[in-house]
Amino acid sequence: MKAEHQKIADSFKSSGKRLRIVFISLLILLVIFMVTDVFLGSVSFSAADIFNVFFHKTESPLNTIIFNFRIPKALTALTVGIALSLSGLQMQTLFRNPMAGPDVLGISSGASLGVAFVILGFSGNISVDSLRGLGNWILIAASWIGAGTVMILIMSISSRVREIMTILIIGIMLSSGISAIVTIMQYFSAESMLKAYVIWTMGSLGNLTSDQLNVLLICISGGIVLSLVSAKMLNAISLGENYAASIGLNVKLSRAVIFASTSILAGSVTAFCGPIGFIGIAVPHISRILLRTSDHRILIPGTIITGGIIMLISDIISQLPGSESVLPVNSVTSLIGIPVVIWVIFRNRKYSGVF
Amino acid sequence: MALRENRNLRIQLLICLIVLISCDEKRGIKTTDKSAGDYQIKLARRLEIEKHLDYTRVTIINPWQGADNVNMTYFLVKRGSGLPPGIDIAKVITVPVEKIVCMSTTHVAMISALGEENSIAGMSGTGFIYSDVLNSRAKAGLISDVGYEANLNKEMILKIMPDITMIYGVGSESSGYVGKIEELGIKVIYNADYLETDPLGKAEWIKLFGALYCRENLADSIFNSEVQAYNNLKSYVAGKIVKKPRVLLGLPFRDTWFISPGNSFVSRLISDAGGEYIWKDTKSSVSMPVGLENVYLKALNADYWLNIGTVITKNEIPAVDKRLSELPCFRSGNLYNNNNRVTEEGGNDFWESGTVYPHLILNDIATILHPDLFPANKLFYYRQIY
Amino acid sequence: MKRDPDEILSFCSLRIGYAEGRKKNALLSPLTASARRGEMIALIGKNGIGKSTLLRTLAGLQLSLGGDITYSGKSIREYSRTDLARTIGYISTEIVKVTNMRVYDLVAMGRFPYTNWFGKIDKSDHEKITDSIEKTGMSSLSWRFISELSDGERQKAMIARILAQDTGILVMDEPTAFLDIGSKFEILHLMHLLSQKNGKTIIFSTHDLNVALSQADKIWLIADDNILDGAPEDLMLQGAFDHLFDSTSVAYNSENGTYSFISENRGEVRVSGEGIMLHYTKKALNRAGFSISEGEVHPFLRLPSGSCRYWQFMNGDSVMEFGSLYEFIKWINAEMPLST
Repeated sequence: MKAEHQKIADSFKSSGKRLRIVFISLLILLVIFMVTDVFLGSVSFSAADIFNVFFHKTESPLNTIIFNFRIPKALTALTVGIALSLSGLQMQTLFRNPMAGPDVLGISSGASLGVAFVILGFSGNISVDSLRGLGNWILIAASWIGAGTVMILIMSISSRVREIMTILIIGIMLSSGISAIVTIMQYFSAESMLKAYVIWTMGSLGNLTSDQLNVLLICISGGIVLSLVSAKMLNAISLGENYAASIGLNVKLSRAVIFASTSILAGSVTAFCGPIGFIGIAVPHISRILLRTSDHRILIPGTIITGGIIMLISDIISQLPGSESVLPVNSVTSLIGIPVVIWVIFRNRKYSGVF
Repeated sequence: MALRENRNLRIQLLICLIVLISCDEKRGIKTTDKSAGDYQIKLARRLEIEKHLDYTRVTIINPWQGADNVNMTYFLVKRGSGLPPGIDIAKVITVPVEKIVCMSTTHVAMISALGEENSIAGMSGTGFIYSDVLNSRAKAGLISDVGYEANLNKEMILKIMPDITMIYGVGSESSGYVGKIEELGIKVIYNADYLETDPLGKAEWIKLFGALYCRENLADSIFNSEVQAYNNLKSYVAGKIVKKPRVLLGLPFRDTWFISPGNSFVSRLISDAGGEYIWKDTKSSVSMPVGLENVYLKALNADYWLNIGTVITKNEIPAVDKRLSELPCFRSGNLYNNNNRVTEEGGNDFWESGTVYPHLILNDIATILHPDLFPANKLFYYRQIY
Repeated sequence: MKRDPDEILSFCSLRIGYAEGRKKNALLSPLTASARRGEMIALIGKNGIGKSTLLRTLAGLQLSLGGDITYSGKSIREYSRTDLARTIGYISTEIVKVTNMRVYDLVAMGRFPYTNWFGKIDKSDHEKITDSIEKTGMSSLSWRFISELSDGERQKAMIARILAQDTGILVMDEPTAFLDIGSKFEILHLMHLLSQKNGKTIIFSTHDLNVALSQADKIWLIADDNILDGAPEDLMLQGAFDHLFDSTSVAYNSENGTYSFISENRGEVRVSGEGIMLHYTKKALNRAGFSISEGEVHPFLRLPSGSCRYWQFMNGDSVMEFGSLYEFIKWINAEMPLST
């Protein structure tokens, strides 16, 4: 028996070591990509420039670019990556569905409805440009209200419904229904407003003022704290809600906490940066593969770092270094996410019913 | 002074000739029987008018973005006269037009310039009309709003039963709605003026309306005086200025700035007014998405900022993005916007009468860029943003 | 009346069922039964009668529609969620499918009611976990992914989980369903050990009557809208099993507590012989549809004995010899076909 115990202890140690290596590597990658995102763009920086930027605070335009444009954008990318990946992880565990993501509850649809009301207005009475005087906050508020409404709806349904799959279906139907309404609004809109709305749906990371970035950071921190609190709940729920209840989990409360966390994370991101897709679905799978554990106490930090890395990579690509143009960040995340998603589907074929 | 102007005139004529020839080459279709038509479209690239004895032949070339080798020919035949032989009746438009439905404020502006505003029975987006006369007609129900593009209210058009419906295409002709309207027996004509990049070329489209309303002479004279005024101003400025101020245009949406290319309408006006649009060297048929920081870098060199979305006060600019307030052109207050003549509902005369009288726009821009040359001038379409 | 100190679970006038809004659908009449420490109790009854619902209600996963459940004298209503989880563990036929979950992780889930808000596994938790893994014989597999386990191994892992949960009562819904014979017996043996050696009370539902009647200390039989509570033999003596299946094709043999199919009666045969030979010959004849008689008029089958190793069948004047029961039955099926 002692030998058996020893074996278990050894396995523990080696997997612990492996995890340490993985985490350190991820952190290093995070730093590398953060730095790359800040310094790689259409303007090239020499090593001397970089030095000057940080140590000789001059008023050069390069300085302004770095501090006023690149760094806020990189921070936004980092935050967005963390928030969406985390909410995706929670949704996949709660619904026990590998294709779930933060959009599954209809949060980004709700947000887009709010924004559609503002931009597309009612029969084109409001010119899109007249928005601009009011600034970004109107869009942010509208987006939040839309997302928040959906969240309240889902929470109230959740407490009345036993089966979690029912909630998934309701969430998906809500998404479709809201999209249909938005499509109707688009149908009746003039070109310029349509374009403005469509651009919003493409997502943007570089648009936040420092105030807005601060608010976003606060919201996301709140969401991260909630998710850490829910780590134990998520572990239990992954067994299935019946088993989870049998080991003492308050299933209703857990659902509420998880929904709240997801809504704050995904809702805030959508409010500030528009709907950004696929990161929420793809990153949890990547971190699961890297960390090879089912324990959310490890998965959550891992997903946070991986999400940051992936989003930074997306941002670097969308900046199209070397050229003046940019790509909409939403497309880049999808293009990165799709191969991952396909790979997950094919991977599942090998093992029967793995998830 | 007179000598220099004379020389300038000759240079102008030379330029016109060169433009003419190059225009012809670039068109790609050979106009047959040019001698038979005594209408010559000089500057508009997508319009051709040939006057024959019994009819006028109008050709619209490549009426939408990305069209290639698409020509639409129409035959304008006077009311009451017989159908000339060998002509497809489907392509015949009876002129003068008495009732028209059109899609753009440029169309109504040109029709009004010819004094034929009473013929306008329907329009797309009546809310965006600037002209008082037309607005009151719209409010009185004499001009119906027929909706947009695919959302065109075909029943309303049928009720109006216009002689022609003038549209501008945003997609290929296979857009269902065009076929539908034609099926109802209503003639449809494409107008491609919005794709013209030369301000005078755009203005020359008034000749299309001249042909449609049998007011060729009026159209001609309006256009010719425009050409003269425009070119005079242009050469005056060219001769006087020492350096060309650099100009920034537009406003970002979110973190992308959709930049007008260097071969655009406004860019052309700026260079004709003796200015330099900071993206003047770019060529594109659509506006280009440029990252905010890249615009910022370039914009640091701009002396003036024009066409700033719909802002009315200076404070609206930092509300869009705080970093814009760091730009020197913002700090210096050289901010001018083309929304001096706007209605509450968003109608802007810049895009209405401005297309008919581009020399007024040129005047404005030249006054803005070279205040010392035009101390007495008052801005018409533009206003300074404080 | 003094409560039996060893009584670990009891329910009285318990109404189980589902509530749809205001409507309450009770599945059965109010039920009363009890269980003691260290008992292995088999819950049997027809399909759909409510066995799973009863187990879920007892495990606290479902609300009863009336009546009370007490654990060691305390009513279920006085238990917090965590306390209840420390009292009663639950296994169902639901399969746990989680990527990258190892056996250790699964068993560790049993410590849920004991760990802090973050779910930290401390030394004592770890010991309990490894102990549970050992008890179920899964030590060598503790680092394997649960998706790679065989059905039997997975079930053992699940049992290890509720062992780690350290509860007095283990509720198992069909624990040996879908298992092959070997695994079935392993699990049953384990359950037996846990109840005998570790004093766990195990309440399990099964369709395997033989197992229930031979292994369980107590039977809870749900029949005719009621629950019968007693030792298997008691119930047999009460005749409780006679009409468990109201079917004309199944007969209950009260002597050895087995069920068998009633075949069409094709005739009677007189048999002579004794011992094991007689026993199994009778079985084969019953299966073929013949009943055993004493009457002189019926065909006579003499069994192999002594030096004679054949079955001799005498019918009237003819005598046939068969080397095995199979051949005999085959012949007699052909000779006297079933009346249509």
